[in-house]
Amino acid sequence: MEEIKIDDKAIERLKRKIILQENMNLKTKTMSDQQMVSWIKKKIEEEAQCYFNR
Amino acid sequence: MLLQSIKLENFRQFRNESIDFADGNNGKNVTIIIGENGTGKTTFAQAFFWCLYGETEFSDKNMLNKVVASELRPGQEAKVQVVLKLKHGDVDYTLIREQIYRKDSSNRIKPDNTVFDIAKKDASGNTSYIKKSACESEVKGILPKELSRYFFFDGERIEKMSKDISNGKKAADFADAVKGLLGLNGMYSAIQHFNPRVRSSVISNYESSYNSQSNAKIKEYTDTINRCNAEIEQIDARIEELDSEIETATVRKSDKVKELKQYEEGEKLQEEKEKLQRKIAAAEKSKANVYKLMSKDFNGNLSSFFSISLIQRALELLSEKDFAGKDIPYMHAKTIEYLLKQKVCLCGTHLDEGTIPYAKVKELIDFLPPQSISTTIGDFKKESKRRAVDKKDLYGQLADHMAVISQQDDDLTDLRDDLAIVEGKLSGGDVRDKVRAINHEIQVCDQTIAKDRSERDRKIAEKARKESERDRADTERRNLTLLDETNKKIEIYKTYAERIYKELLVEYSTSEEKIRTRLQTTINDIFKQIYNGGLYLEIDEKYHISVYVTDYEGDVETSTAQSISVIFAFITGIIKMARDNRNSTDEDTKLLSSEPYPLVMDAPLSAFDKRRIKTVCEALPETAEQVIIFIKDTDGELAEDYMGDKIGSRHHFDKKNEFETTLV
Repeated sequence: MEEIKIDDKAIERLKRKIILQENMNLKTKTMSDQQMVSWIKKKIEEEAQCYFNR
Repeated sequence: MLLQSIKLENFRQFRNESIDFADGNNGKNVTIIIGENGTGKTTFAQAFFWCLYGETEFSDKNMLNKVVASELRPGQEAKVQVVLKLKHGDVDYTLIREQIYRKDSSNRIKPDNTVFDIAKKDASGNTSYIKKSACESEVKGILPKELSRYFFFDGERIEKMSKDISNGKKAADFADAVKGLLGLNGMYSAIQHFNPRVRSSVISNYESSYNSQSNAKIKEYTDTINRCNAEIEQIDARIEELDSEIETATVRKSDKVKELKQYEEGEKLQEEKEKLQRKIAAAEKSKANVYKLMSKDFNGNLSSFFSISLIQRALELLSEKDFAGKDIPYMHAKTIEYLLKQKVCLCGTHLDEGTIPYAKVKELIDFLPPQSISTTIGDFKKESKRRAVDKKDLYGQLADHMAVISQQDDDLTDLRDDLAIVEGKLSGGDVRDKVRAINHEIQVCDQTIAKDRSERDRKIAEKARKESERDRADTERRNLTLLDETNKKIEIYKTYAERIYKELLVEYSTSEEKIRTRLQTTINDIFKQIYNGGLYLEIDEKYHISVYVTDYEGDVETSTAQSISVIFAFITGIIKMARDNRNSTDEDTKLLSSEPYPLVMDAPLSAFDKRRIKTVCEALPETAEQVIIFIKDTDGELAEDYMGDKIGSRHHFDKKNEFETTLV
């Protein structure tokens, strides 16, 4: 099976961004669960795309 | 969440009263409300609970002021209302709960259901109203009811709370409180947003995005994965239920055993029973060890044991043949291979494949190193000798073990017979009815525990099977999705999401463990401060709290004071840690920061002596961001002395009559 390469640094960046955003959202409640899921997907796709383009 | 103000209208003895709370401005974060017994301290404290959750602990559920109720004429109505203003995160909330009471023609007062509204003003000053259907869940997001009792508590309930926590009954609640308040909620939300078992999560979203037009098998595998996930979810829910049932039955059994020991004959028989149960457990363990030893001996010697007769026959056969001296010195199999390849022998004879010279030269390989026949036979004989020397009497060993097991089985049968006799006495005419009834309950608990454990084991095995089926389908699907570009992208995004999810789970568990250890230290520091040493708290991984007595020197304390110290220590411990996280300069610690919470306490000092009151009063404002204390007049004077510079808002209850109290 073809192995999918993952950028470890991107994973670290994503985790941090996501937890910060979750903490922020718990306080401000500006985003619904569905909006949070979309936001996370967008961030993952941006990071993965950067990695493809390198 | 910090409280800003509360306003009560016709709420029991309060016709129209309000309080603005000290919020920490100028270092003053304590609001003190003093009143004699019976003036309405508890009622006022319960008003918070009523406004937030629509419930109180009063047995009389009628909240309407008695004077207002008596003045109503048939057909008229009156309103009970509590308005609570608070700040949570960057949002200002106004929570309004009201209930209309009507007097009917037969002079009876009937209440409508309570009506709950929430207005919120965000950081930019925009005010909006929460939909009615979402109000309860909004409150849950601010302070879940199960956690509220840690922040809104009274001195009379505190001892029970402490005991519940000490004996593990409320361990799950406590665990939630700790995780929520010490900043793990952000990480928990993130995990939920990734959780593949949540339908709308990031991973589930990617799961459902595959384009199966390129290959119909993709859909088939996706369906298998979804089915397995749904089944795993059901299994998990059942395992959780079983765990809870086992925990409840264990606690109940422990209570019943204690109860049984209160009866003389019950105590004697129960102790005899426990002694036999311990012996049975030890004998079963010892028997399991013998089986383990047996398996080890068998695995270690089975090869020699089963091969020895074949070896003997082989050696007999070899003794009839003589291979000595057949090997050609200083030559190697590779030499022959070289000659065959060159097709010419050293003597010049042509070695063409299929000819007699070719076959004769090729035969020589058998007599040359590295694997000449004599070398192989020599190795075989050496190995046979080694095995013959090492050969243990496996049969004898196993026979010895079986003899031990047989003896253990006899002993176990005797012990079980003795246990059955004791059980028989506990359930028979040798004991009074009460002891018999208690013992029956213990047996029921034992049966429940055994049945649930067995089902739990089956469920765990079933879950492993489902997980393996799902993982197989996932691997197969991945092989297909990587073949087309659109699906490949989804596969890559999903791999990122799965990796983040996996790492978040690990980090959550590590952070939770670190927090638990730090919390234990913090609680013990506070405990020492309040209680002046003597006791030590331990929190295990299931959040069961154990209290140990160390070398305490001084007056013998009552268990009430100990219990109250326990609950004080852990509530203030959690709040202190949450506050430390918020004020930390370390970015990672700040990630674990959570909302501040107030401590609203009704008569918290009533069970303490003067010395303890001083330590508690000094510790609380330093630990919590906001403290609201309802207190009786005598304790109030002491509290004012010890917290004077922290008190930002001070009120007295003035009892006009049985039905009306005002605030001064």
